[in-house]
Amino acid sequence: MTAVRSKLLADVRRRRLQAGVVLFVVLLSSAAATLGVSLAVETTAPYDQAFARAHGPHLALTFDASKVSPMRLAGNSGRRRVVATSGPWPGMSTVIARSGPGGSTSQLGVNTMLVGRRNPQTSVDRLTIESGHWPGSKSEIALSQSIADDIGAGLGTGITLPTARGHRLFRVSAIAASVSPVAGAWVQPRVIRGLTTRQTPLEYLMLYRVSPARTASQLRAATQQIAARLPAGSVVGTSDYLSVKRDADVLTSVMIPFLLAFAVFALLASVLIVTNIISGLVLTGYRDIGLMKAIGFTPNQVVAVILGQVLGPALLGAAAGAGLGTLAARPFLQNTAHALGLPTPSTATLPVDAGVVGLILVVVIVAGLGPAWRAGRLAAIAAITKGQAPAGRRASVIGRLVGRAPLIPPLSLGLETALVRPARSMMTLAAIVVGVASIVFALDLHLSLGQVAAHLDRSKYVQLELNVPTGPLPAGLSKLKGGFTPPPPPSRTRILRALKTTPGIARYVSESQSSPLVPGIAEPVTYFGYDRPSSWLGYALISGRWFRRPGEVVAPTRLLTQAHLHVGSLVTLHLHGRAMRVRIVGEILDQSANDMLFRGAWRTERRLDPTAKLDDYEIQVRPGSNPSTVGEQLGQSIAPHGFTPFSIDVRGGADVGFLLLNGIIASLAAILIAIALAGIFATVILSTREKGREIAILKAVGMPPAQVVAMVMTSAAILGILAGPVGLPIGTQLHRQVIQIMGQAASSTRIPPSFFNLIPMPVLVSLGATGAVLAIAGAWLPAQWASSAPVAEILQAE
Amino acid sequence: MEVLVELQQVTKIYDSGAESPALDGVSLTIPTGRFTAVMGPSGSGKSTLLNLIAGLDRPTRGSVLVDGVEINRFGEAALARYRRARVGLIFQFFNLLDNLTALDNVIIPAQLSGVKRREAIDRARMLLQQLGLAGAERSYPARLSGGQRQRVAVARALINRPPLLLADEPTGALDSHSGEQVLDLLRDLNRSGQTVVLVTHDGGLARQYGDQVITLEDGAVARPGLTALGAAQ
Repeated sequence: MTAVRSKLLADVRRRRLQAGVVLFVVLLSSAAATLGVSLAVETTAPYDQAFARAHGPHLALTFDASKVSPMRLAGNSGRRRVVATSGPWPGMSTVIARSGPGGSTSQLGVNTMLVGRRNPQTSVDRLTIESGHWPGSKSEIALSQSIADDIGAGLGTGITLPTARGHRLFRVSAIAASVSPVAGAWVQPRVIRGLTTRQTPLEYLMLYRVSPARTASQLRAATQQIAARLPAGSVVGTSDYLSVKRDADVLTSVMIPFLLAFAVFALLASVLIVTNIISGLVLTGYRDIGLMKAIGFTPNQVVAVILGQVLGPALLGAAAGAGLGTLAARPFLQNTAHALGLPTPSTATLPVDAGVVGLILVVVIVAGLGPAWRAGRLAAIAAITKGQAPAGRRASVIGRLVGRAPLIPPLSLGLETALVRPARSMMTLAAIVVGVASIVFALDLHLSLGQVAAHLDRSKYVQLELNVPTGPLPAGLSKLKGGFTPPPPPSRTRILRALKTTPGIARYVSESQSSPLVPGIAEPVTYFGYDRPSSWLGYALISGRWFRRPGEVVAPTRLLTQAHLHVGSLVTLHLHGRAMRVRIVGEILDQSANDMLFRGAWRTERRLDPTAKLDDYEIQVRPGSNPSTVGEQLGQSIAPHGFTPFSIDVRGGADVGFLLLNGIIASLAAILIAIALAGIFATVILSTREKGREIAILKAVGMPPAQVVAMVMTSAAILGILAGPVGLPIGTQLHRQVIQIMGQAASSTRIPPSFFNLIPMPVLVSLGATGAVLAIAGAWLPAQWASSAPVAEILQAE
Repeated sequence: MEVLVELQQVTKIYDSGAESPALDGVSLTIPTGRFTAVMGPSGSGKSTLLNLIAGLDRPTRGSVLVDGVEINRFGEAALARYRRARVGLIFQFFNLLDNLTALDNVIIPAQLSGVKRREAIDRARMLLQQLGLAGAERSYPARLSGGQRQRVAVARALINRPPLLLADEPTGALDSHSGEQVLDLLRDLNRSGQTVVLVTHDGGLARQYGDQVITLEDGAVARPGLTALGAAQ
């Protein structure tokens, strides 16, 4: 064993506590960094990764089974742009509901496409079975995770599907994930024919991989080529992967900015703490350093001994932290996949772990090299003298002033201790600032994201959505085989009467949609028209106001940016040869219709599109009323006797994506707070060790343990008190910047001013005190140790 | 004669695996107003004895009574109160706080006892003047000579007017002249009624200044007794 190694191991054994603190801090930093980087790497283009693994379809087309046969569809798959296909599979639109007692069914179900598939592994769109087994019998069904969540179903849950004669009961045998969101449920193919009705006829689903497939126009061209050789009107639905990918990437793009912010915080805190610890090792080890040099250690060997005391624990901590971070990332990745409706990605992140461990070690070396190098260059006798002699230094001017302040000795001595080593105090202060800023940043972010979620989800404002199709029935459905005529939709008069008389409804508004063109934007945008006051719908204003009269509209940031418009601009909308000038009176946070929309009066829309129909109703229920119950009652009021084509959706439930973000924010904030605590702990330990003799003298002349604790706590608390006012603005400003970057990344939107400054002033002021709380918490244990250290032993050791 | 300090069968073992205790069944008394010298070779247990009387350490067995009160039963806070009210301590290496001036070092025990700063300063200035340090009160310990530092330590030990002054090798870090000055100072204090316990390895000094000499060897009292000086008194 070399002399360096012997000395190094002996020093690590002697300074187990410092080694433990380094290990702990590096472990937390490494865990935070691994968690952040794993999430960033695995969720960067999560859809792309899942799409590649599942060999996902670029196009999903549904065909009218009355117009095209499966043989013809299969024979049509050799088009020039088509590189692979799966299907055709029989399918149908249906309403899935949980079965009640005795096989009864709820009126509130979820619309989705049911597909008959023999097995989940096909050349295109390989399904992932998240749990259970693929349906084998006629009474088994597999659900997508989102459908299962919507109706509250799990493995074994009984569900019902409508048939021509009533309903049929199924048991959920699997929860499956598909990268294509077209199908929400799967059964064996032979089951489909028994479920089709005149209103929900048989269709075929066909999935295609095409080339090229990078842009929407390439996908349109491929769709046209596929449809060209088929009978007119046989394609009844198309879906492409680009729109799904865009939605999936939103969650990722909002996560990256704050993951980066937390990672930078964690690394910064680690640098400060490690530098502090190594400086402390040098300061308290002058005599040792001098003796090492006196007996023949070279400067580089001295550097190696000092740096090695930190590098060893740092390596262990970094490796353990990387493992912990990988484990911690797993539930978040599962939840991310869940939120996006994608299969769970793997967490085999060896390159990430290795990269993080390497980076942490580099950071530790960089942080420790300065003080270690200076120690290595100390002259032997100077180091021994410095280590043996009393410090002999004079207190700083501030220290002397504090000493004269009319304070009891524990407080004045504690304050003086905090000021005697300005560099160490500054580093400790910075570590506490990181802790305070993390708390403020995390709380601010949590509150702002809550506002974003509330205003995008709007379930606080609109609990029920009623849709009544008022247009002509699809071709072929107006007169079906056997002379059956589908029932007409409920009249508007009946709906309005039901809305007015159903108990529990607070207010409602009817909504229509049309697709006008706007100068400067190639694709049509969506115009949502309202027939009644609608400012309560929950769309948050970024600037301006909600529309009040015909000719006024509000629009989201993205549309305004792309069309070079702003609040106050006049813009002309064009539709079917008609033109209408509207004034933009407000900028809103709104992610509907790909953020390319206007919201305004229905009377404005009618002038542009006389055929526009008010077929959607947004409904707010009274506080205390159960939306599901109100929805059931409304359904009964509209159609008391049997089938009528309308649907009522109950909005609500916390958004999984935002819950996930909150979970990650809370976890990373907790890690940073723990790092800050460890930093304070390390500094106070160094300080009390360094001042061990002085504390022993004070105890010898009569300072009781409680006053020793007070003195040590004061030395840390003063830094905490100073850190509060510094950390608060850093946290709030960082939050402001990050949330704006998140808004831009997610959907090029600005953030409403009302989403900032959400922490009430008294809470914000009390958050300023968290610096002192952190400092006192971090200093508690070292203060106790200092108060109970043996006096005689220390004084005799002189 | 009134007994100020009494040790009853005191044993102190620092390490349970140690071959011999630092003190082994020591019993002795220290009368009020006496100058007691505790002498013995290095490792004989002198400083351990002093630490036990000062309440800086606790005996493994036996009792330490001061003014009839068994201080080894005190909690840490009570021991701290005992030290600042009843004991003045003087160490071989002075043990002054390096970043406080001589004056601030002296007033610390008074402030810990709740004496107002103004009053503590007045009392400290008087002591420093009596000890010949009138011009050094604003100096930091590093700027003072060894003898001056030890006199500052004496002033600090006396600031709360303790009935018992304990000095552990107070001349050990001083030249002979400074050492003599410090011991003369202690003798003068004793003559004014102050009980003093001096720990020293120097038998000559012990006999010269002490009116009672306790000799320790291997943790046990070898020769308790009065010196000629003590007998004369």
